[in-house]
Parts: sequence; C-alpha cells; structure tokens
Amino acid sequence: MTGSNPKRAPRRRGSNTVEFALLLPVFIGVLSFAFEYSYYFFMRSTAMDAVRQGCRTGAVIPPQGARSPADAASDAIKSNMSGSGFFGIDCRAPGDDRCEVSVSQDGDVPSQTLTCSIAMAYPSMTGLIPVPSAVEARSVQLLEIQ
Amino acid sequence: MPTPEPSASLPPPESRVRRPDRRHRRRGNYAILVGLTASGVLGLGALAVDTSYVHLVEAQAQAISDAAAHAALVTLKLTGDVDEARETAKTFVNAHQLVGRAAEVDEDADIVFGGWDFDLQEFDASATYINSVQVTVRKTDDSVNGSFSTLLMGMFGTGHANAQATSPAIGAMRFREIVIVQDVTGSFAQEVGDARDADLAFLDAIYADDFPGDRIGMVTFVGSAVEYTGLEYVNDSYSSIRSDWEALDWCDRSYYPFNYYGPPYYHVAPNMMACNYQNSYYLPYYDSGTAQGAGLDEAIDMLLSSGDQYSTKVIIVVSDGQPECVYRSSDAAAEAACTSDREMDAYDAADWAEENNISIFSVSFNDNYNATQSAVMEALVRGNGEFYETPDPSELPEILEDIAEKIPIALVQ
Repeated sequence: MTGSNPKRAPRRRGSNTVEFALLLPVFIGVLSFAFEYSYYFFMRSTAMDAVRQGCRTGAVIPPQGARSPADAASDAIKSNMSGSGFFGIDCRAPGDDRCEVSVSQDGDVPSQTLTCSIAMAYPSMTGLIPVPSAVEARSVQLLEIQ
Repeated sequence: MPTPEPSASLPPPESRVRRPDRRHRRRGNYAILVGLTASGVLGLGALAVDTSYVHLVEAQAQAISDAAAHAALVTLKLTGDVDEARETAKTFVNAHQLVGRAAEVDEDADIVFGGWDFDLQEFDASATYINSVQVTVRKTDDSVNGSFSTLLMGMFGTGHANAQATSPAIGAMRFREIVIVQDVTGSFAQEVGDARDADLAFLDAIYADDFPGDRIGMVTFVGSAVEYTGLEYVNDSYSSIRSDWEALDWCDRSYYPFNYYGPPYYHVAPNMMACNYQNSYYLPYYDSGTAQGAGLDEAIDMLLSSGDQYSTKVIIVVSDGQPECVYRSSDAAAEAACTSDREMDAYDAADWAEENNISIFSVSFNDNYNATQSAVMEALVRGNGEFYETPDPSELPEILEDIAEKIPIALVQ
C-alpha cells in the first residue's frame, strides 16, 4: 500500500490547478458581468440626466429668440456629456459619429414640445460578456414659452 | 481511503500515520470553500448589477416626474385650468419609457396640485391658492406601473423590486418682479401715448394672470433715471398703479422750474417733474440726452432690494433712441466722449443684471431707422429676454402683451 502513495500524490497535486482552471473563468465571468452591467447602467443614468437637463435648458428658451430651443438643448446635452469620460467619446466633436444627439421641436402652440435623445456606442469593456451596443436616453419637455 | 500499514519492526512516527488523514480531510475543503466563495461572489455580483439597475429605474422615474411637473405647470400658467394641467402631466408621463414600457401614473394619487411656500420650501396640498404641482412616478407593487423584475437577484429569492422618484418633482410658479424702464425723452413726445398704452396693456396682462406674488414697478429715464412707481403687488395695488401709469408723460421741460421764464405751475404728472436731475433748476441740462444705462441701474437696484430671492426678475426697457449726451455748450469732443460713456454704461448695467439672474427684454421704437440704436438696444438683451423693434408706435401695446406671456415662471425641484 505504501508503494501506491507516490502514484496518487502527483495526481492530487494537480487537482488544485484543475479546480482553479475550471473556476477561474466562472469568477472572471461573474466579475465581468457585474462590472460591465454596473457601468452600463451608470452610463445610462448619466446619459439620461444629461438629456433631461439639456432638454430643460432648451424648453425654457423663447422659440422666436436668436437661438432656437432645439439648438440650445442640443448644445447643452453635448456639453453635459462631455465630462463623462465615456470611452473617450466627445459628443461635441463634429466627426465623432459614436455619439448622436437628436433634438426636435414638434407640435403647435400651445402644445409645442421638445423631444431630445442621445445614442452613444457602448463598446464592451472586457469583451467577455455580451452587452447592449448602445446607451440611449430620451426626454420630452413642453416648451415653457409657447 | 485505506491508511498505510505500519511497519512491523519499527513503529511509524506520528507524522506518517497522520499524513494520509490530512489529505483525506483536505479533499472536501476545496469544495466547501469554492461553494461558499462562489455563492458570495455571485451574490455580490448580482447585488452590484441589480443595485445599479434599481438606481437607473429611480433616476428614470425622477426624470419623468420632473418633465411631467414642468409640463403641468406650463399648462396651468397658460390656461389656469387644473384639470387641463393634470391631463398634460399624464400625457407627459405616458410619453416616457420606464423599464422599457410607457410609464403610467395614477392621476389622482400621484398628481397633486397645491401651494408652494418659497420661504419655507414646503408644498401644501391644501393651500387655497394653487401655484404648484407635485408629480410622483412610481414602479412599486401598489402603483399602476407595478414593480419590476430584477436581473440577477432572482437567484437569491428577490425577483422583484420597487422604485420611485427619489423625491416627488415639485413644479412651482415663481413670483415675478418686473420693472419697466421707460424712455421719456423729448424725442418720444409724439408717441408717448402709445408707450403709455403699451405699459398699461402689459399691466393688464400681468393682472389677468392673477398670481398673487407678482410685483411690478416703473423707472423713467432721460439722461438720468428716477423711480416712477416702486415695486407694488399687482393684485393688491392694480388700481393705484394703473392710475399712476395713466399719468405717464414725456419729460417736458417747458414747465416750471425747468422753464425759468415760464409761469410757476407744475406738470399734471407730479412724478414726471423728477425727470430732471434732483429737480434742480440750477442743473437744468445735467440730465439731458438718453441714458438707458441709468434706467437699468435704477431698475436693478429696485429688484435686488425687493427681498425676494426666489422670484423671476425681469426688466423691460422701452426706448426710441441710442445712448447719447446733449450738451448746451458746443464742445463736440466732450459730448462724443460722454455719449460713448453712456453706451458703455448701458452694457455694464446689462451685464450687472445678468450677473444677478435678471432677464432684460429690449423694445426699440425706431421710426426713422437708426442702425446704432437698433444695435445698442439689441445688445442689451440678457437672460431669457428678447429684442423687439418696430417703426410703428401703435404696435407697442401688442409687443408688451407678448412679453407678458413670455416671462418664465417655472421652477422644478
């Protein structure tokens, strides 16, 4: 029986490594999932807040003024998103098509509304977990001055 | 697992006997450890993801509440109809997505109209005067939207979560403090009747809105400015303000004491006598010319000393000329320098207004088109103000009525 021990021992020694190798992807997967989706939700909140505030900025501007509510809202949304550090995407840069801000003024007096939306590419940070490819947010505001 | 046989000749050391036992025990350790750790890691991961998700839903609910409260308030201002405002709030809630579906709201329980006390920063649902609305969008078990499914916490038996706007969105109509800065120079003499009608039309429009906290005043200016009507509550003092403004006239210096040789009687509008600096006969031309900056300075002083830091403060400057000095002497260089200073004074005053969140609407009556006047008057616009220009004095009342509708009122917090 003593002679059998040296044969078993090497097999057991490797079992730790095998267990670790089997479990590592699971742990990495769980951590990646938590990291990816937490950040994704955070960015959606950030985008939504930027759109809400930007749209409000436009909604309080007189429609007949030198600067239209839509332009004011668009600029404000882009400015709000500029500090987010979102994968280096700069919504104010004309050539950066990874960020699309859309603002439209709809309806007639006294129900003119401003519909604001943003769509930004969301690249996976780890590449291990499938995540939505875009962060989107939308807000509809009634123009304060009709 | 069998233990090794001890040697017959030599008793085995303790360690030889125990070593296999240790290995035996170790084998289960990893499974337990991994099981416990995996549950913990999975749980923490799920918690992180779902906490973020709940916060996102709360933020969505807050954003929808804000938009709906603002829309309801705008409708309330435009129509004065609570039911219509409530319907607007509902429409704007429905226009937004909450967890992938059109949001809904209980129009009775979640849309509440009441009074907002700006000093106490409190909402009173039982207030007799309605100047605010409170909207709460909820995604809870007892709401019309129901609760929502969590993404991962279902693995741990928490498959649903409740979320609502972190605080109800309260939209309140700010009280308005408005000062008309009215040009009463001699060049306005022919059209001052139209200017007076315009000011009265503006007063009537503000009074018709029936907001009890609104205050209005007037500054008149030539080369200097005076307070013609102090800030008065429109609802309380409408008649006296109107009576005061009906007597508005241009700064006519053909009366005593401005006319040294004339008969010693006063103008029918006593306040207009103050159109001359300190009412002094000895400085009859000190205030000659046009000084929009002096008018703005006087109006800003009035607004900043009103004591209401929450109000929407607005100045409406009405003029038919560019800033200028008129000297009795023929010192053209000094006159030009003085004129330039007055123009800069006007811009400085406008900037001061902007620093204090005071909006400026600028109305230029420009019958014989003067490009400088037009440019200067347009450059005075600040904040939410706008520039208006007309060569027709009869359009002035319509312009001021339009401005009355455009003064912002909403505050959402």
